[in-house]
Amino acid sequence: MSEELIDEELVEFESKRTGLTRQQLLARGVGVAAAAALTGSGAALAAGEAAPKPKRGGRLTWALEQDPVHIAPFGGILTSNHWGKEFMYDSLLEWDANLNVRGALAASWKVINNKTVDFTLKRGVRFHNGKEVTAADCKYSFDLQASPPPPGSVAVLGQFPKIERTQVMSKYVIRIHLSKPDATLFGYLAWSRYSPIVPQGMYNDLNPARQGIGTGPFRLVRYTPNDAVEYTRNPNFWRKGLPYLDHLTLKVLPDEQTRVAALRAGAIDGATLSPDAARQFAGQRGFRVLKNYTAAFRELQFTLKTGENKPWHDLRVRKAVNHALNRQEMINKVYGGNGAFSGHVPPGYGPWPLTQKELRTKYERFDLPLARRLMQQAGRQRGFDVTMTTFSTPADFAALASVMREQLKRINIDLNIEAQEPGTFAARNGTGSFEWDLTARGMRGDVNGYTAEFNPSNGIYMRWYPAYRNVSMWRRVGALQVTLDHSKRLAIAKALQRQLLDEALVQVPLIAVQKFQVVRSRVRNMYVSFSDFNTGIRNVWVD
Amino acid sequence: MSIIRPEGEEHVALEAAGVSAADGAAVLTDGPVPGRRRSRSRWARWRNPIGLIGAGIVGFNVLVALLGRTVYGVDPDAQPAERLLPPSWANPMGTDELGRDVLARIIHGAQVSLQVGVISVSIGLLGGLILGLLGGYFKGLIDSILMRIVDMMFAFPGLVLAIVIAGLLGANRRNAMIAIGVIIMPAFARVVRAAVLELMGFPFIESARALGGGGLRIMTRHLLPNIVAPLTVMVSVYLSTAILSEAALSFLGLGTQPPEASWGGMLNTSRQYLDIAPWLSIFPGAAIMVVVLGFNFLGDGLRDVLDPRIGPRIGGGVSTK
Amino acid sequence: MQQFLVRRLLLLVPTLIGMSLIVFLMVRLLPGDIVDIFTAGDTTITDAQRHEIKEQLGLTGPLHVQYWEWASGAVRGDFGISYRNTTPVSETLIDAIPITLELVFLGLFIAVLIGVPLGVISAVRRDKGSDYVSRVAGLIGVSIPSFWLATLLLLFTSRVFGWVPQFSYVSPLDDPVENLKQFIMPAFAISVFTMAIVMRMVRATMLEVLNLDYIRTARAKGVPRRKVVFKHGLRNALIPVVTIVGFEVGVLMSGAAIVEIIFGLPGVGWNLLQAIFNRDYPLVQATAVLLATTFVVFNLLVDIIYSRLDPRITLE
Repeated sequence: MSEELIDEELVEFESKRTGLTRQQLLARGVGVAAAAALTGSGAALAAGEAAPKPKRGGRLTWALEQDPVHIAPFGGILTSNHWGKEFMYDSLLEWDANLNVRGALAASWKVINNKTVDFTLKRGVRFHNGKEVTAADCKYSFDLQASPPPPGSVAVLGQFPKIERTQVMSKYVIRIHLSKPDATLFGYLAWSRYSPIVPQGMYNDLNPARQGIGTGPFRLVRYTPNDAVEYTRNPNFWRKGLPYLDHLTLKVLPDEQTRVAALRAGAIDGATLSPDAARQFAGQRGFRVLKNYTAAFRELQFTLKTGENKPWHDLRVRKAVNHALNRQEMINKVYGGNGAFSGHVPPGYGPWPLTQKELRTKYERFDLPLARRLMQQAGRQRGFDVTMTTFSTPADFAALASVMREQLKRINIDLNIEAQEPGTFAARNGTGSFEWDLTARGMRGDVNGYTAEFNPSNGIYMRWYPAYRNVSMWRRVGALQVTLDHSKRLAIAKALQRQLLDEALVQVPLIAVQKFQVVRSRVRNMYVSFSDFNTGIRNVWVD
Repeated sequence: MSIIRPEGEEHVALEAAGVSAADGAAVLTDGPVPGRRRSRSRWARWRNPIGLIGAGIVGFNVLVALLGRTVYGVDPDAQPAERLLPPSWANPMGTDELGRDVLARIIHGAQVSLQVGVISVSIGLLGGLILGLLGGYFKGLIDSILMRIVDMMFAFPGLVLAIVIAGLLGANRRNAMIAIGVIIMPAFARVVRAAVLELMGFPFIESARALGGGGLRIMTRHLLPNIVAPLTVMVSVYLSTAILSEAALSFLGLGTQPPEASWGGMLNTSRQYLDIAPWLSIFPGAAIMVVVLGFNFLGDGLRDVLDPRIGPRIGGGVSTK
Repeated sequence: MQQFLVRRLLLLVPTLIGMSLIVFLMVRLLPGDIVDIFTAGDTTITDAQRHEIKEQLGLTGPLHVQYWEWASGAVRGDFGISYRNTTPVSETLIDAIPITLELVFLGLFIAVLIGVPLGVISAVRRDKGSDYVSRVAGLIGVSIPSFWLATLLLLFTSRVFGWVPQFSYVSPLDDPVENLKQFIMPAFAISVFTMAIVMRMVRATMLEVLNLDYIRTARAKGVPRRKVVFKHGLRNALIPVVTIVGFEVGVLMSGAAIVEIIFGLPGVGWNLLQAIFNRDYPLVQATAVLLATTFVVFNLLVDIIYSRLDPRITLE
């Protein structure tokens, strides 16, 4: 696996698909009104096949590894919330398979000034209940996005752009007023996780936690918690000819071995599996193994609190930890060789992340002598004990923690691992009551989402590292959000990431891993989405 | 995880002493022999083959736990080898998903699993003794209140308790042992209470009372020695229960914490590799089975020795998934 | 008898109150509340927003008021609404209970069906080959965690027969055959432990009964061995079996959680686990009360069955 080349690979692949050069690709990103133009190797594996003619009809059963819990359109914080609802709703914009921004419900949009954008809706788009989508529905939806009612959570507002209000200009035109310039708007809309459009008054007419009316390719039949979400084809879907499937079932199967057995027996058509489990299907007749990077990279987090004087308050100790960690070994041992180094922005996230080369040879280089020297300079050559908490499930976190423990022993750090049930972990992480945490980050609508936690005005900063001060870093974090010019923004993002790895290191990004999905060979046109959702199913057909 | 306790119901009066099992403490069937035991044939009874085999197995495990590391000096946490290697000369039981030596982990696991067994059973036994002795001795209101508490402990889902304890006190082996101990406690309490209630009817307790023996004295001097036999059997069965419960907690990631090896934890992780690396399941599975066998044989043997009147009966209907 | 029933049912009340109180407090003691779960570690949330969510869910008042509100609703059969998916808790439980009941009863049925004959054979043929075989089988039964066996069974049928049971619950009223196919493997997985215990208990009781004086006398008088075994031995041996089975119902109601997860059957145990992980207080509380009730009721049933099986036992 040539991780060194990953960025080149991605761009090269992207160029092949689109026939554009690297420069053109990046330029197109700029063209989308300063939104993030993201590239991903999404359809890499599917692209190799000759493209047969898509077939209409048939059913698909796909396994979810977690219950969606609820399928309310707004404020669902769990990734699995969106797994349950993503086929039902659309937003104004969307990402294509390679995460380029394009119109969904919006036919076009116009930037009036740096605080005002007009979106013009496609005409004749109908909700599942037959009603036409209008600007009034959009206004209703944006109002709910701004304050998601239960079971949604206001916590997602951290991802909400600075939308001050929305205004109905005409039946098909909705105007968005920003309170200040915000480069994250388009990414937020295209991500569509928190920004679906629902018919006006929907929350009064039904229980949004288990029912819903959207514009998406599939219409909800029923959601039974801990069991399944069932969908049927939306015959009036606005993208003509789609979807191909008549019926879609998302079956909740939390245990991986169950998914393996079900796949083998043909009870499900596809599922996400660990690299080890997926390997059994490689080369087997009747199955195809798909893989791709996702935005969910692993990260080591420290707390730096005022009044405490823990060894890692010293930057040299944090750097020693960083250079004592052998990321390639983690990838090989825990993920069967399928992974890449990650900075604070994961590889594959458009033009934003640092290159693999830069990370491998400089910022995240495995260099034990250097690590030992740093420990010595910090007067910590005899090491220290520390507790690192992590998730008890999925199992790869505990395995990764075990590998890190062996690696840090070499600089005399004795890592005491505590694997916590996810609810407990989330609570402790959120209140900053931990020493070290091994955790993960996920998809963000805009690159700013990855750096917002280094903004001292963000409440979390004061819970995690109140003792850390770095004014020039703070300035860059702020600039990244308000700068609209793409190339300037790109420069800020890169400089900020280098600074985070070189001066701050209050979080040590580790590795990005590949997500494996195994499908039966009757399933065509599926790809693993970088966003960690199952977006590919929208365009899948079955033989 | 579910823990089964021998059960029964204190509200059933046994009109005919001697028939039993109805009160759940099946091992008590004939009632213990009050007072002193005959020592005549004790030595002969020690030559009980089943018991000796059991003692041998348990003894061997204790030896492995204590000395294994010295004899087989491989670090159970080190990850030098390739992952998922089948058994070979270099790694007699193969390597696991992180390239650790499975034999070294089985040896380390012996220590952990025996510790889990012994400590959680001790917690359950101690708590059960206190609740059962007090309830059985004082009867009446105290008994009623204590038994309602025991009922609640019985009815409380074990998994919930384990999660709450892990959440409150932290997820680690110590707390897993506490959780398991509390989960099996009511079973001990019931058996102890049933035994005490039965003993209270015997004249030697009355005479001890008449001689001015205080409650504490009667409990420790007269009641306790006479419930040792049924408890021995229960303890041996619950030792295996506890080891398996730790496996169930590992399923939720709340048992022994990584990277430390425990048999239950190994068995749980091995599920992921049943297809591609079956040896990861076979060795911890076999280890648990052998130890369970050892404890059960030992328990059977001990009962024959301590309480000759009861037939060669196995176990008291207890244990876990 | 009637008096006994009334008294026992009355005793249920303090147990349930105590149980609900303990659970009520315990879930609130757990680190992380519903707001943390809602936010999943994303901590941009302000304290005011946090308070607002709690207020909407009725979690801001003093604890005793919260408990009173919940308990007074529960008495009227209103167990509240799930925090997570806003479904009435009773609806979730009504869906989950039949699944778990069927699983548990089928499992116990299998346990008795196999365990009792094995125990009888083992006792009658004491110290012969078949005795040792069944005893060792019993020990294997108590050494295998059910979740591991469940996985093994599932992988085995998928690999060898290319078949797995249906993963969405099929009601026996709709399709009894499919339903049975679906439940047979998970039920077997949870049965082995009970089976082993039943076998051992039956063996032990049988051995004892067969040694009693009146049995010996009967044998000496020429009553056929088979008749002695079945008439006297088995009847006595069934008493501990009833105890175990009655007890196991209560335990497996939640104890089958992991097997439910593996077989994709959203029963009581699975829902309870999810509810705890989600800090879905109303669902946890209602489930705990349900479990306590089941436990107590089945213990009561056991006592009643005893008195039928053994006329020497009376219910006071």
